[in-house]
Amino acid sequence: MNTPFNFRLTKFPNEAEILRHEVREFLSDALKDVPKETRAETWYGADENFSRKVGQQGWIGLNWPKEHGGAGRSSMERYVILEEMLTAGAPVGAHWISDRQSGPLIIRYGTEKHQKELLPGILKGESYFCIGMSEPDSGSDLAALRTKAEKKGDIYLVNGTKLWTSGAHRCQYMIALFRTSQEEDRHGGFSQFIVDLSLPGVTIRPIIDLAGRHHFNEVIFEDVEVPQDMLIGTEGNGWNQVTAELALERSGPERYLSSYMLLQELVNEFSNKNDDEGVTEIGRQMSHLTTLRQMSVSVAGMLDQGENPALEASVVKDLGAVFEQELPNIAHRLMGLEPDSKGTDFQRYLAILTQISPSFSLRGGTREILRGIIARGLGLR
Amino acid sequence: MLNETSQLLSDSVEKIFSDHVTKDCIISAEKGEWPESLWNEVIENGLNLVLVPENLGGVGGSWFDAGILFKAIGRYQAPIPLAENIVAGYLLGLGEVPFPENSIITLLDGELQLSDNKLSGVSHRTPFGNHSTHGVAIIGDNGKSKLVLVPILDNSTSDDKNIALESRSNIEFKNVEVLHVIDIDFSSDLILKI
Repeated sequence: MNTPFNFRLTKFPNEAEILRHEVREFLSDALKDVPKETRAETWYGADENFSRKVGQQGWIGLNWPKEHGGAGRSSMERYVILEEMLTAGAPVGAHWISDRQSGPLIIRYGTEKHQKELLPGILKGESYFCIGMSEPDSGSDLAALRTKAEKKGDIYLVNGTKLWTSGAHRCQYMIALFRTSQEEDRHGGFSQFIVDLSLPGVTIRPIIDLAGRHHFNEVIFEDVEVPQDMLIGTEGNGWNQVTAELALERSGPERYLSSYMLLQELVNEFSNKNDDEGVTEIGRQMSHLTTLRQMSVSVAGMLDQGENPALEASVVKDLGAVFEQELPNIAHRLMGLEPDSKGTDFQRYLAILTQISPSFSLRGGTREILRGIIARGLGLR
Repeated sequence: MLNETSQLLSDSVEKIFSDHVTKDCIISAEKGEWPESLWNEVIENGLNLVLVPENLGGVGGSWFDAGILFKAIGRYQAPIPLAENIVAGYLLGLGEVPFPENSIITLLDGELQLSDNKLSGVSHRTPFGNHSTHGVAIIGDNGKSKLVLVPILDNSTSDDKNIALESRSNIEFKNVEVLHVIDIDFSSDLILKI
C-alpha cells in the first residue's frame, strides 16, 4: 500500500554511540544530587546550573552550523544527547526550547545582528527563550490570535496577552507571533518577533496548574515598544515560519519518554516478582517504546537529509502521547498502590506522572490538531 | 431504559450534585472543610442507603443503581465519602444490621486485630476518616471473616490528603469496643447476590 508516511529504518552512526557514552558519564556526575522527583519531571524540570554545564560541554547547538557557533554535528547525535538526558531525568527545561527551536529559528530567519547578539548566550546555556503563541481566545486555533504589533516609526507598539506560555518566568526572551496587519487570508498578517521580556510594559503572571506547579504563565503586553529590528524573518510571513518551527517541536524523544522513569521503576519492581501478567504487560510497553523510538529516530534522519518531516512528526507525537499517558494507568493497575507524593520511589513517580500526564496531549499541539494534520496528509480533508 | 428506582436515583443525584458540588465547594473541601449542606441533601434523599435492604429501612436498590451514583461521584468529583457509605450499608445489610442513624461510615484498612469484641490497630489512609463517625472493617481470612462496625473516637485520627487533595486519615484503635460483629463467608458468591 502506498502511504504518505515516510518512516525509514535509520541507524545511529558510530560517532553518535561514542557520544552516548560521554553523555552517560557526564550525567552520572552532574545528576548525582538531583532528587528523584525532579528527575521524574524530565523536561518540566529546570536548573540553570545544569544548563550551563551542558553548554560548557558544547552540547547545546550541537547540530547548528559551525559559523554560528554550533558543533556542526548531525541531528542523530543531538538525538542521542536528548535521549540520554531524558531517560536519566535531567532537568533540561531551562535551555530546552532555545536549543531545540529558538536557536534554529534565529539561524534560519534572523539577521546577522540577531545571530551575533543572541546565539552565544544560548550556546553557553545562559540565555533562555519561551514561545509566545497561545492567547486567551486562541489556542489550537492559532490563526485567531489577536495580540497586535503596530508599526510606529522605528518601533512596533505591542498590546495583548499570551497565555499558557511555558517557562516565561525564567526566560530573558520570547519568540512571539503577533498580528501586524489584517488580511483576508486568515493565515496572513502575522509576524514573528524576538521580545526582550525585561522591556517596560511586559508583565509575567504565574498560572499554577492542577498539580500545584508553576510552569505556565500569562504574559501581558501593554504599549510595549519593540524595536523594529527585533522582527524576525519577513513581515507577514509569521505563519509559515511558525509552521516550520513546529516540526522541530513534535518528533523528538521528549514526545514518548516523559513517563520513562516510571517504566524503569516498574521494571525494578517486577524484576523480583513471579508475576506473568506484569511481565507480559511490561514487555508489551517495551515493544511500543522500541517502535516509537525507531519512528522518532527516522524523523531525525529525515531532518539530517534536509527533508520536511512535518507529517511523520505529527504521527510520532500523537502515538507518543498515547503511550506516555497510558503508562501511569498501567503502572497503577499492575502495582495496586496509591500515587503518593510521600511514598516509595514508585509511588512518588506515579503521583507526579498521574498529575502531569493529562498535559502530554496538550503541549506542543493537541491530539485534535495532530490528527487534523495526519488526516490532511492522508488526503482525507 | 432505566426502571423507576434507577431513574429516581439518577435524577436526584444529578440535581443534588449540580446544585451543591460547585467549584467553591470543592476548593473548601480541599482545605479540609466538611461540605455540610451537600452531605445533608445526600442523606435526606437516602442516597447512602441505596444498597440497604428495604426491610432495614433502605432503598433496596441494585449494584446497577449504586453504579449510577458511583459514576456521578466521579464525574462531579463530589468531596464526600458517599461510595464508602454505600458499600458500608451493603455490608451491614448482609448481617441484617440497619444503617446507624446520623452516622458517616468509612471503610477501614490496615493491620487490625479483634479480640474480645475489641478492635486494635491502625487503619491507614482511610477515606474521610476525620469526618466519619464509624468505620467498618473486614477482619480475618477468606472463609472465616468477620465484619465489624466500630465507632471512631475523638482524637484518634491524624489527617492527610491524597494527590487529589481528598481527605485521607490514619485512625488508631486502642481496644475500642465494636458495636456489631457479623460472621461473613466471603468465599461464597454472596457479594453478587443483590
